[in-house]
Amino acid sequence: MRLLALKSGPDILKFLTSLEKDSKALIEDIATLAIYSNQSYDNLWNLTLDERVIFTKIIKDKISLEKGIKPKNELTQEMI
Amino acid sequence: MQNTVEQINPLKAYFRKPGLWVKLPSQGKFYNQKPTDLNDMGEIPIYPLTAKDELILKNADALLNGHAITQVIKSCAPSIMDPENMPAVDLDSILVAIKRCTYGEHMNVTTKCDCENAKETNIRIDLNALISDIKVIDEIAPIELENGIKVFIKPVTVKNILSLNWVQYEQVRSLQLAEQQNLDEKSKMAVLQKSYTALTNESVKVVSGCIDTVLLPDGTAVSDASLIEEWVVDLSKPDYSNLERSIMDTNTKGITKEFTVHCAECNNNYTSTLDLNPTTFFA
Repeated sequence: MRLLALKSGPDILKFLTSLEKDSKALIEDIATLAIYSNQSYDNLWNLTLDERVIFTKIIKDKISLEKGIKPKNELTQEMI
Repeated sequence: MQNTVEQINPLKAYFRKPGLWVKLPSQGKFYNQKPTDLNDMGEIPIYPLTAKDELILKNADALLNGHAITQVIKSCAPSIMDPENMPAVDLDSILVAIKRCTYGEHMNVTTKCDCENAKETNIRIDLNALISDIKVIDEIAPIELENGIKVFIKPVTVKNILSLNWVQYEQVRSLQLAEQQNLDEKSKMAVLQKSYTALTNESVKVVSGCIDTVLLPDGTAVSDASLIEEWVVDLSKPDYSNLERSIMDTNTKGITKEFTVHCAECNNNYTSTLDLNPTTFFA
């Protein structure tokens, strides 16, 4: 196990802190997506990374369009 | 009246699509319940991690007690009904496939040469190449001991590896505690002895758990797990080591973990090993 490989207390603490930080970042991502997309927070947890990237891009484009800015790159089948 | 009609979930068409199909080194052998979607080529479908799966892989407790691994297998390799009892050699291939279909075809690895002025080298590993090079376990030949006994073994299971890791972690923790509490030498030795016994017991349990049948020279076959464990405890050191080595060898098939790296400092090539431990692998 990686925890066993870590030799000192500070190493373990650093690893645990990084896990906690990553978790918080992920929760923040999903919460942001839920707020901007008006989708259920629970459902968004079932999205994969690729889907989240596409979802985020489309939301950004939608916001840009609403502001009157035309998105530079439209999503194409190739990009998916 | 019992309803025998199988219910079809109307949401099934909207489920995740498989990212790729991966060849199982075991080809579906050594399972209590054969993987459901195993095709003729010995492959199963693998799905990418969801955000929920990624979150569980960030939980230190779940990583330590093995819950994270079994949950992720259930989510990303649903063909495997009982992840705890699957051969550990298949787990490696599945983890690489999950990584490939979630994060893309390359994986960055940091290695360091043994030479004096070595610096860390970052290299990119092609996960597609690893997956296409998965080696299948052929028939496992029985081990013949000097006294004529033939031992038929099976690969280590995920449960074996997890329990061994857990015992190892607990023992390291108790040793660290003994160090912090400034115990006298005699008490420290007692803790060390206790740890050694716990690890040995677990190791014996793993080895005996990986023995399918013991065939005696007179043709008698013994398959009872408790009788086998009793026999393993009583084995001589060379016979035990022979068995242990052969069992662990079954785990070296599947994904090729070794790769060659060029050291810019000493200008030599050295061999490094890919760490497929889930705690590191998805961190």
